[in-house]
Amino acid sequence: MHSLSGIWAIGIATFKGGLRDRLIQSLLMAGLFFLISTVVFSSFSMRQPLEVAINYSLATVQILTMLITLFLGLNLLSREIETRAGHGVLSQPLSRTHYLLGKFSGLVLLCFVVVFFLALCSIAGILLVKIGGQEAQSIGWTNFGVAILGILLMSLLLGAASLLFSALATSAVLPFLATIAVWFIGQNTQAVKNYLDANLADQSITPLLKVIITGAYYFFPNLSLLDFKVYAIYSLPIPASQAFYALAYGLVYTAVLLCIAARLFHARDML
Amino acid sequence: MKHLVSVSMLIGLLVWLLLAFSSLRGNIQEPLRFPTYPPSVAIEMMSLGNRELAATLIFYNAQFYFGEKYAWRREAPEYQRLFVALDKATDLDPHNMDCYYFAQGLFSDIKPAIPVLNRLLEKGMRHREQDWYLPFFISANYYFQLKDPVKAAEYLQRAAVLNPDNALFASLSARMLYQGNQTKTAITYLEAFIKETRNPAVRKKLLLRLRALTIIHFLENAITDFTEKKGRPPRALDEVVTAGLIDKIPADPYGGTFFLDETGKVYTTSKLTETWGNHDNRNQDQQSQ
Repeated sequence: MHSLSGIWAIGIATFKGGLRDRLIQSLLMAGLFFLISTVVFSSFSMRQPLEVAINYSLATVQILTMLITLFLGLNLLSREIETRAGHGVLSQPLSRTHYLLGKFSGLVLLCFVVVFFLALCSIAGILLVKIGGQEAQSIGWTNFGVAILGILLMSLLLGAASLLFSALATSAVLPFLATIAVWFIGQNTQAVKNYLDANLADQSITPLLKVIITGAYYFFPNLSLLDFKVYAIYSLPIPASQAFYALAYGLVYTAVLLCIAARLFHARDML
Repeated sequence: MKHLVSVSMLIGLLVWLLLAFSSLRGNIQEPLRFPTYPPSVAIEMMSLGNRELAATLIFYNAQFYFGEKYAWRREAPEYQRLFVALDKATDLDPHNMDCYYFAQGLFSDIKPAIPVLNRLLEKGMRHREQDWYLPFFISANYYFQLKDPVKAAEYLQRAAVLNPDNALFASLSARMLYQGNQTKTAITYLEAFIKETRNPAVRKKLLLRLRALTIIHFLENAITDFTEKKGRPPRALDEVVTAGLIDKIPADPYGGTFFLDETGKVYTTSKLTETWGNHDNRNQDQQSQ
């Protein structure tokens, strides 16, 4: 019980710290601007302004959330280790694992607020386009919600990866670059594997490269599994099993990353 | 106060520079080229999970390029590059209706482009199963360009199944199989397409074709009148003018001259088409994928 309240206290402190961060505020301002621009962006479409509005909004939410998570994850642990700001907390009767989990729960809260705020902005932008449109077209809000949930899971996964690298590294640069790499690889393993499986590539791909790509496919998080944007844009039916597996995959992968991060952080020499 | 004055002066300078720049740009016109995009798998990777947005951006770029090149500069667009870009955009997002609609507007009057255009539209049909526009477009391409009324009627039938309330299909289908009065059928099809087209540059291109077809229809009616009056078809279009049935032979909006071929049909030296360009470039582009 005591440890839970400790995790909660650190989580709340992290959440408040994140809200005070100027980076968050400026990115949210940028988000607001981009989402208002939905109306302008979708007006260039010939046949599908509403689809373009949903497409643009979800892409903006995704990119901004991932960027915010990247910077938050960096500040979460690396900066505290660098400035030794966390040493005071760690001297309290609280295990390092609980400290790490507290930090992560703060990140979860922040990501949730960010995604929720950006989703509200998107809905406003999409509704503006719908009101201005000529055709009465319904919007699949359930699919939209699933797509937003997918983005939230992606950001949590990336945040957990960022914590893992922070627990490992002594400076902030390495976790930052490594998390960007995970983001890039995670978004693309599926596309590259599909490309290889469909035999679209010519003979220049060596067996060794194939093994490396297949290994990367199973090792790195597959962020495209959590991508439901296309279902939201074109109101396509989402297979329930796919949504369930994606949800489970995102949560389990995040849990695995957190476990490894906790183990590494526990064994780490803080002096 | 000093600060306010200096900021105002700087803003004034900025506005003046912008005005000077735009008047300069009005005089100097740098060549406008359409870019060659990297393979779709590379674009997908760079988009970081936003392939649908990447497809929309490619379509927007193609649309803006075509608008400036065709409607504003009045230059021949690089049609093959445009096609390859739309093909890549629909690889990224095969549901994107804008790309298919734009492609039909751009390439449906360029005969060498029809086989690849139909392949692109077929890709759309596989992903947009409820969309009647796609089989409707393929049907028109088979009928007017590939002269295959049976295939055309088959695709029109598929469009009719998807949109049973549209009376246009029944009349078009009957006419296609009858094979008579192709010009009137083409006018009916174009009018339906133009009614749904909001892009001004594409609309301009379609209206040009409609104007040419309306003139041909007018000339065909005059020839029918001449044949009824004289008991024989005219040997040249000038005869219809001399007979007083029309004042003069109207000009071809595509820049050609109307004439009668050996079978008595109205043709024009422009062939009512624009050049598709060098086929080899497109093939190389596709191979580079």
